[in-house]
Amino acid sequence: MRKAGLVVLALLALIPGEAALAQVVLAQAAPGQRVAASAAPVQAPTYRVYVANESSDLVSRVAFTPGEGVVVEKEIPVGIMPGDNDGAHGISVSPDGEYWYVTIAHGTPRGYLWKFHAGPDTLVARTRLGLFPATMGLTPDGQFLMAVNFNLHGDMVPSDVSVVYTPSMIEVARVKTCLMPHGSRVRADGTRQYSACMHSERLVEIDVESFEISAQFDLSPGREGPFADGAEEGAADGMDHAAMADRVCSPTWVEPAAGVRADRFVYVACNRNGEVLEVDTEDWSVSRRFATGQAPYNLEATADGARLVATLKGEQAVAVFDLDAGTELGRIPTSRPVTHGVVASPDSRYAFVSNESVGSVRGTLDVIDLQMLEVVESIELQHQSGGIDFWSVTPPDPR
Amino acid sequence: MIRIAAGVLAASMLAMGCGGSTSRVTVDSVPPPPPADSTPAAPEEPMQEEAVPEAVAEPETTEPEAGAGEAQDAELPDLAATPGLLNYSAAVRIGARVGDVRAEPGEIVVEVGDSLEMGEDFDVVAYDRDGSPLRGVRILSTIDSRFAVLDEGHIKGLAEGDTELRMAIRVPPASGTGAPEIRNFSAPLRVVGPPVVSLEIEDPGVRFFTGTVLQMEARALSEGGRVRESVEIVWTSNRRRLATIDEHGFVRGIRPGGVVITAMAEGVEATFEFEVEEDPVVAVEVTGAERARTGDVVRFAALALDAEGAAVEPVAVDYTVSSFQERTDMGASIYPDGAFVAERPGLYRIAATANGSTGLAFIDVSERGVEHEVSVVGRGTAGPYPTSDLWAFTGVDGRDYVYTGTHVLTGGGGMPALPPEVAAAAAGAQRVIVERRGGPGGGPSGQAMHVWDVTDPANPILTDQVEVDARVVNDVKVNSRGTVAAITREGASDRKNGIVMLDLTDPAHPVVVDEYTETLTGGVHNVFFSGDILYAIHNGTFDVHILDVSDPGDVEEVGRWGIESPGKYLHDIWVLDGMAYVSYWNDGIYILDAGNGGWGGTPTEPVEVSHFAYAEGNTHFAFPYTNADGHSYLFVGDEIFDCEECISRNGYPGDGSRGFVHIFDLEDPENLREIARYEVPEAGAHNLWIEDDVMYVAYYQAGLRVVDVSGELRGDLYKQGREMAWFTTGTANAQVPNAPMAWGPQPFKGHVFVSDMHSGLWVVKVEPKQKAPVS
Repeated sequence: MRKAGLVVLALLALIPGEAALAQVVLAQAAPGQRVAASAAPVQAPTYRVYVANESSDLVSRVAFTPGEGVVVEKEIPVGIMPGDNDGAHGISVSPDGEYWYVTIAHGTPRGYLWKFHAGPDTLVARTRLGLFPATMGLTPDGQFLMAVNFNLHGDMVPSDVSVVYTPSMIEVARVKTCLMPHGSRVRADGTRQYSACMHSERLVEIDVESFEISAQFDLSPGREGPFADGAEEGAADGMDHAAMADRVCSPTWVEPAAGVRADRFVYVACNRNGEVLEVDTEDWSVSRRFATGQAPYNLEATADGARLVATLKGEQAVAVFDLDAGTELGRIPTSRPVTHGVVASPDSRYAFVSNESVGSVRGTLDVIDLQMLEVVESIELQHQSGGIDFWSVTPPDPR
Repeated sequence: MIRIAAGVLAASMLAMGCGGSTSRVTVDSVPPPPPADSTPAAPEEPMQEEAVPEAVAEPETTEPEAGAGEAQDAELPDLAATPGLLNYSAAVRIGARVGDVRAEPGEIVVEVGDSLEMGEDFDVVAYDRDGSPLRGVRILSTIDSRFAVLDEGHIKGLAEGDTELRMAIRVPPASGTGAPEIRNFSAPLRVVGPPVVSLEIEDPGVRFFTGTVLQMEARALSEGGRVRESVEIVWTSNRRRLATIDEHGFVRGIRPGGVVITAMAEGVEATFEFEVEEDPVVAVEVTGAERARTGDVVRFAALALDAEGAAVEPVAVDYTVSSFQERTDMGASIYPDGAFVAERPGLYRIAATANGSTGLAFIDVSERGVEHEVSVVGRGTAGPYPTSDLWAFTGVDGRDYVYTGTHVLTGGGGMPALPPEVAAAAAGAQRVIVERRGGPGGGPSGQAMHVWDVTDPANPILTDQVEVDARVVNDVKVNSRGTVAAITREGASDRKNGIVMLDLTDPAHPVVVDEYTETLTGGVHNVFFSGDILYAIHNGTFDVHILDVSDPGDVEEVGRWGIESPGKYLHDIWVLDGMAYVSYWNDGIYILDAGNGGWGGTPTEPVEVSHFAYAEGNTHFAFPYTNADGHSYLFVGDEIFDCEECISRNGYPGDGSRGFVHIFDLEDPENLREIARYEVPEAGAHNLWIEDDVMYVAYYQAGLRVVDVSGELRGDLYKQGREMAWFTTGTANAQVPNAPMAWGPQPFKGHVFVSDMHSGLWVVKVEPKQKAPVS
């Protein structure tokens, strides 16, 4: 937890309540040297995230305070039927932090989107979406939510992206894309939404003004490039998982770049062939490739644009990349298998990683220090912890 | 200079709704637009200043007249003075001028199975507040309905019913700054059945007299003989002086003479001729039982007599019942066919009226007196997780077993630890079989099917458990020979769920012989064996997948059956005598010929015989049964959560469980008739089983309910005293203490086995209530 050359003295006095405070004194010191602390009190930030536990129909609200640990503050039920698994899958917090949204993936009969007040965690509204809605992207103003209807278990027909106007929670458009759309994200300027189609080997860009497809990009290994109209579905067409060829991308996530690369580059997790592609959306080409290890699944670009974190679902680990240098900084084992979701704190310091685990073994949340590149805290959640999003920093990050 | 109508900017946004409902926006400060066919009051502002982007679709519109923008310009805000508005695109800015969005035609009508193309067969058009069409407005359209879908600009009709086409446009916010907002509009959309090709008026089978009042019925048929629902039938009489008929089809005989009644629907006519006779009836004699118990269905017959005492037949009779007790309800019912059933004891008067003459009869109803008592014989608790379904059977080794499923949905931790001796036995026998990834430290993980030896029902012994990679083992079924079992999986870590086949050569220690996931990755909720066929309910396609399991080590999908309905949800299937009963949630219950042969179906290519959807929806489970008196019924259970009246489980309004058992007359499978129900008011039905004219219902919060279903059934069995016993499966020693959540019952060899989500497996005995000895 301590940076080299820094001694962190947590002096105390935890104040009970949501904004736990600690007086912390930072001073330059040689290793092992005691330092007389000056008395300026500094608030230790508390980071809070929401995590969806898909097989428990519970959402966990988790708080992490560096030096103090991580706690589950609350578990919010989101299912309807106790005997059936409703399947809370994706979770997204509105940009202003007022609301959070969770997709109920299995649903009865179809998938639903639930909206909650963040904090009180009370239900605001629900609306029906398509089959197995998964991840969501929100426009920067929070007005529009775009959820991919993953439909991974139904007939292999092109599925779609639901567009929901969040103030009224009405689905105003449904944009048909391709097979198994996943990983919905809206880029920083709010003008484009991206998703990837696992069984169509395709990256799809939607114009957030018109809610129409504005571009498609073929992700098939060896033929990456603009997707030609009328071209056949990707090599992974069909539902035979076992028969999928080795040389397929099988994209599971698209992450728009942040920082200096924002609004131009996106990162695509090729789950099947173990790499992340950096795609330039101006000239629609692959600008860089990052080898990741087994089954990269979700991606998160830190807010400063410097790093990219990839969960490795098949490796029980995350990989952290330096986007400036184009190198992998480290591969960090996670506490439980089936590593799923990741979100970074706004100060780009920590990554919060959900691990589904297997069967009746509960999932976990790992907190990774992106400077130290190590897991600094872990906590057991409920079953099949997956979707994750960042809610708040208390006190607010002065940066 | 571009100006935006300030009044339109005051459009108020929708209140938050849920469940995909659609509401109209109220634009307080703008007068309502004129009807679609009115003449536009003022031409629109020329569009060239708006610089409409190429991507914006332009619906067919009326071109603006030259110079027409002048008047409106005076009302529009100065964009230069409101720089924020310049940030909005042309498509958003023009939204501020929209007074209404309408479909053309005003009501869209599509036939079931047909498709309408936007721009060809219908259109959506924006109008300014003066009623002039506006170009360049991007209109988003959706349909959220089970009657129709909107797919890439085509509306496809799926089922008869009324719904709406939702339309939305983006507009600048009233404040002039911030994110664009949405205004919603809607247009009625009617899905109609295929054209009526014939009408059939049902012959009431009675003579018409002056004073006769009875209701005529007609069926409208479309091509292929399918009955059309929701068809408006217009009735007329050719001689209203002799007989009238109202809009509900009620005929009233007035004077003697020949009359022709005509029914008309969609231009198709049918007629029915009859003769109105002078009323000869002077008296009515009523016969029937003088005594009955509550719940007994007894029949009354009425005989109309003329002045000579001769019978007048056939004649229309109205039956009514009245009570002599002072109470808030009648306590009994009598149906048009003379069937009487009482809910409460007492003396009742039956009146039968024919053409104004009335006869009376009386019946004394006593308590049904079927009270039984339930005693606990044994109980099995294992592990920290909730219990799901169960299956009791006699194994090939001659011993009796119950297999139970488990799931993780409500978390674990509350269930007591296994008794040491059981834990030791289970630990010794435990094997992780379909394990793909280990738990922490590589140890076992996953959900389990528990194996109970219940040869001694008082002492269920956990002999083994089969762990699989899943979070829910919802269903467990064993074939009729007791040689093969199938368990369902949901929540597999690799999202390939499917089923697991078990060899029961040693039923105390089942062995996995295969898993089948290929077409069932979405998870399987229920299965049912029929010979070497296994019917699997797939959560992905919501179809019945038909599997050949003749070689349990090489399962193959050989067929599939499902309905086409957006939002369909399939829950369960039961097969008996070659007939399959498929519970299709809000689409109702479907009866299939799955090898019976009467309707040409086979086990692998079932044929639909009939279906019935009722208002409550949530059709969850069906069980066919013919009782000792030869009455064939179909017992259909709902599973209703998320209703307004539901008891809160999680703290949300509407959370909890409701639903009841609907009882259908199954004498004619092609014409299901709902004739009775069993409804515990404060709880929700789940699985049920019937044996020896006794229905056992796992009624979630209401525990196990035991109901007498002998004889003929009518009305609400709960109110009729047919409930024989109930047993709360809640206990302090449970995962969730004192909270019954009964899942499934099965009578077996004189005992009833009940699984409860929170408290595990129960073995109970249902016996007649012992009366205290009288000294």
